[in-house]
Amino acid sequence: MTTATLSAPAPAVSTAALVARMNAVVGADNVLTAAADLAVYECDGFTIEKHRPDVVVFPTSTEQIAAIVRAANDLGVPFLARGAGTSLAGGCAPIGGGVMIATARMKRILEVNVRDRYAVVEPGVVNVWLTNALKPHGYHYAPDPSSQGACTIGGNVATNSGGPHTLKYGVTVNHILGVEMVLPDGRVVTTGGPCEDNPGYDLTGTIVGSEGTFGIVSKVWVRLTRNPEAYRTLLGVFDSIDDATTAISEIIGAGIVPGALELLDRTMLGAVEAAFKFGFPLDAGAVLIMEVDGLEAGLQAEADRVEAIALRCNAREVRKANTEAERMALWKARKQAFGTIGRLGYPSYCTQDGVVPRTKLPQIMRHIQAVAEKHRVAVANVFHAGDGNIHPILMFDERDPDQVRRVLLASHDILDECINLGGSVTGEHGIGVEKLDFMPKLFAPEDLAFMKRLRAAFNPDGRCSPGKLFPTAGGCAEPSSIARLKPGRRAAV
Amino acid sequence: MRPVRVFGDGHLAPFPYNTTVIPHPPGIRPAVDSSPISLDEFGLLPVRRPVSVAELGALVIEAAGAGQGLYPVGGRTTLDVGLPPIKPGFAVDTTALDQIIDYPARDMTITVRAGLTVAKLQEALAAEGQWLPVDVADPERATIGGAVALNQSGPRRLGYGTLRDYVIGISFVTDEGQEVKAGGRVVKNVAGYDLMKLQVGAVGTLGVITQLTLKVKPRPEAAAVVGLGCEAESLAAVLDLLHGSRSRPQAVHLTTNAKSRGRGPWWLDVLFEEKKLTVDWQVATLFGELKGASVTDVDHLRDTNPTTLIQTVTDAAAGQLTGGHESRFGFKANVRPSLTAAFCVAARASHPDLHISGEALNGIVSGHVVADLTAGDAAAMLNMLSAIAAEGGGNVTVRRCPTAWKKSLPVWGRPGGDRELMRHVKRTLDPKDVFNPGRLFGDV
Repeated sequence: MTTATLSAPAPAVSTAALVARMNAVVGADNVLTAAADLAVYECDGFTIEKHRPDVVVFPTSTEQIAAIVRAANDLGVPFLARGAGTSLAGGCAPIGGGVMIATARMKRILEVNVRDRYAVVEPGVVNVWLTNALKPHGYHYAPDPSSQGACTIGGNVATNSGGPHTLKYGVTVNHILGVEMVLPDGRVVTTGGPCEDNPGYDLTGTIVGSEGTFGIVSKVWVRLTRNPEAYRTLLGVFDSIDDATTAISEIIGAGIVPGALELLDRTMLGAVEAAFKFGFPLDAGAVLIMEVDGLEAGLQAEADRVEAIALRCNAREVRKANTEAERMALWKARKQAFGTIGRLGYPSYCTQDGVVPRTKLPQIMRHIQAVAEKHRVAVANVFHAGDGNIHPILMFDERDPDQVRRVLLASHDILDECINLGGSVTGEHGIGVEKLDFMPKLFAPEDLAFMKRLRAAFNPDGRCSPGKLFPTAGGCAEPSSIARLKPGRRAAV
Repeated sequence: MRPVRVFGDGHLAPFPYNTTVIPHPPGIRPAVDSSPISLDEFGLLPVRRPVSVAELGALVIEAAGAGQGLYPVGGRTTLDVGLPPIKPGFAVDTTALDQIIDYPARDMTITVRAGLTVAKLQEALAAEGQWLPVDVADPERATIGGAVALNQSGPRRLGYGTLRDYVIGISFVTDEGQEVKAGGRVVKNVAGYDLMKLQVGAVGTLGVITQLTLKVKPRPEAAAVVGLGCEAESLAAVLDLLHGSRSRPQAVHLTTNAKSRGRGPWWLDVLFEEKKLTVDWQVATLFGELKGASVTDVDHLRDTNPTTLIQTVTDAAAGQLTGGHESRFGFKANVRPSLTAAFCVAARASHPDLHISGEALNGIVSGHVVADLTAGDAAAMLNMLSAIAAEGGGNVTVRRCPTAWKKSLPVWGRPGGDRELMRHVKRTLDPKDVFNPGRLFGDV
C-alpha cells in the first residue's frame, strides 16, 4: 500500500533482474535479498512507517556505487543511500522499494592531515571513529550527535546532523570542506576539497543536509577542530523546568557562549538514573548540563559566572564534574539517554525535533506539558537547550491504535507551536517522510517550487530517494492524514 | 502580470512566515534611479533603484520578458569582480531595501533587508554588545547582501568562520520575479534545502538577495595584537609555529607592506579576541613560544582596539591599498594552509611591486599590483601561481584587472570537476540567464 502523500515510481522490472545486475557489480556476498534480511532495512529510527527495499547492496568503492546507480537507472527503479539508519525522520526509508545502497563497508579513514586541518573519509565511517583516530593529534571532528557511536559521517552529511556541542562549534555543514558524490545519473563529481573558498557555487554546502536527494556521497573532506584545552562541566539542579529554561536564556544573554547546554527533565532523569546510577536528584524538576570550554586561562571565571547565573535563576544547587572521568560519565548519561527510555515501561517512543528561539523555551516547554495532558501521552524531555532545539520523547504502545493516534496528534500540536513561536519543525533530524506535511506550513508554495527546481538540477528523474522533503500534490497537514499512516510492526525501544 | 509576493514596503510579514500572495499593482515605476553605470566597459547600464520587493520583482519580469540581463548592485564596492556582462539590460541598486526587520538581541539573531550597509548593521548590533564577526572591505558602502553574494571575508575568518556560517535564513527574488525564502530565524534548522549556502558566493547569478537572517555573537571582552616580522626563508617555520601554538588566535594576517610596523620583509599580525584573562595568557604564551624563533621583530599592541588595523588590512586585501592607491591587477588564491608560505614567497618573487595579504592559517591569499603591468606579465604570474595552488587542490581567481585582459585571463581560476555542475545549476534555476549574465561563467 502506498499512501496518497508518499507516491513513488513503481519498479518496472522483476526483482530477479535487479538482483542479477547488483550481483554483477558487487558480488552476491554483498547483496541482500531474503525477506528476513530486508526487514532490517525497512525503516530508520522513525518506525511508524515502513517500506521494504527490493535489494540491499554493500558497495566498497565509488566506482561500484556509480555502477549500481547506472544499473538502477537502466532498470527504472529508485535507489537511495543508508548509513547506520539512526536518523529519526525516515530519511532513508526506501519509498517505492528499489535499491538500498548501504555504505557500511565503505569505512576507511583515507587521510588525516593535521597541518591542513582536514581528514578524508569514506561515508560509512562512524562519527566517533574519526574523533578517536584524531585523539593522538589533539584534534577532533566537532559535530557530535548523541548517536555518534553508531551514526556515519555519510549520514551526518545527508542530514546535516547536530549534537550537544554544535551550540558553540556549529553543525555538520560548518565542518564539511568537500564531498565526492555519485550523481543520480551515475556521473561522479567532486565539490570543494581541502582548500577553503572553492571558486563558484558552494555546492558542498548545498549538498549537505539535502537528505540524500541529490546523489550518493562517496567521500567526504571534513574539517578538523583542535580540542579545547580545558572544560568546566556543571550540573544545575532546578525545581522547575521554567527556572532551568530561564537560566539558559540568561546565560546566553550574558554574552557567554557555552560549549553545551543540555536539559533533562524529571521523567528523563528517572530513566537515566535507573540505567547509569549517576546520582541525579530524582526529585528535581530539571537539570541543566552546562559546559564551558576553551583555554584554561580565564575559564574558571567563566564557569563561576555560569554558576552565579544558575543560582540567581533559582537553581537549588550547582554540582561540578571534578575529574575527566566524572565529566565523561555525565556525558555518557546524556548521550545514551534515549537508550534508557525502555525503563519507563513503554514499548515504543517517538522523538520530536522542533526548534524555537532560545528565549521562547519557557513557552514551548509549558506547551509540551499542556499537550501531554490534553492527549494523555507520557512525555520525557532531553534536549539541546542552548540551541532552542527541543526533543520531547512521546511514549506509547504501538499495538494500541488509539495511543498511536494520540501520540501523532500531540507531536503535530507541539510542532505547530514551534512554528507559531517563530521556529522550525526540525533542528537536526530532517524532514524525511515524517514531517512532509509540515513543509507547507513552514514554506510558501513558491519556496517549495524553487527547492524542487534545485532538486531537479541534481536529480531530474526523482529516482534518487523519492518521496522525501516535499509533499506531493494533494498532501495536506490536517490531522486526518494521520489515519493514513500505517502503524509499524516494531518501534524503537 | 504574474502575482508577486510582497514582504516589505512597511507591509511587514506576520512573523514568522508570510505566505500571502499580493497581486502586483499595475503600472508601478521604480523610484529614484541614479546615473547609468558601466560594468567592465559594457556600455552604459541604466540603474533602477526599487523601493520595494514588489518593484524588484517587476524589474526581474521586465528583464526576463525583454531577454535582458539584470545586474544587481549594492554598495558598488566589487563591481570589478567577474567576467564582463554579455547581455544588455540594467543594473538594480538594492540600497533602498535597507530596513532592519527584526532584532531579537537575546536570541542572538537579526533579520535585515539585503541593501543595509555592513556598517549600519554592525552599528545596530553594537548597541546590544553584539556583532557579526566577519570582516568586509569598505563597510560604509558595502551592503550585507553584496557581502553575502561575494562571500566577503577578512582576517577574522580564522577564528570565526565566514558568512556561510552566519546566514541562517534568506529571501531572494527568483527569475520568475517571486520572492522565495529558505531557512528561518532560529540558529539550528534543517527544514528544506539550504538555499543560504547556494546563494553565499553565487555572485548574484541565482537571484537578487532581498533579506537575510544572521546569527550574531557577543563582542569579545578584550583584544590584543602581536606583530611579527620575519625573513622569507623562515616564514614557513613561523607559520608552523603559529599553527601549533598553544594560543588560539582569531586571525593571523600576513602582509608584505608593513614598514610602519617593524622590520620585514614579511609581517604577521596575530589577533587575540577573548576574555581579558585569556587574551593576556595567550600573548604571554606566544611571546614565550617565539623565543628562539627566527623572527626579526616582535611588537605587541596591548589593550588595543584592533578595529582600525583589521579594517585597513581587509581593505588592502580587496585592493584598496593604503595611501589611496588603487590596484591595477589583483588576485585571490585559495591554497592549502601548509602551502601558504611557499605560495606567498613565490608570488613576491614574481613581481617587485606585488602587495600580498594573506589569512595565513586559512590559505587565503590576495595579491595586488599598483604599478604598470602587462597582460602578459599577469598571465605568466597567474600561470605560475595556479600551478603551486593546484598542487594542493587550490586555485587562483582574478579580482581586478583591465577589462580587456578578461578575455584571456582565467578570471575564475582553472575550472575544476564541479564547474559543469555549477553551470547546470545556473541553467536550471535561471534558464533565461537574467541574473548577472556572463559574469560568473561566461555564456552558459
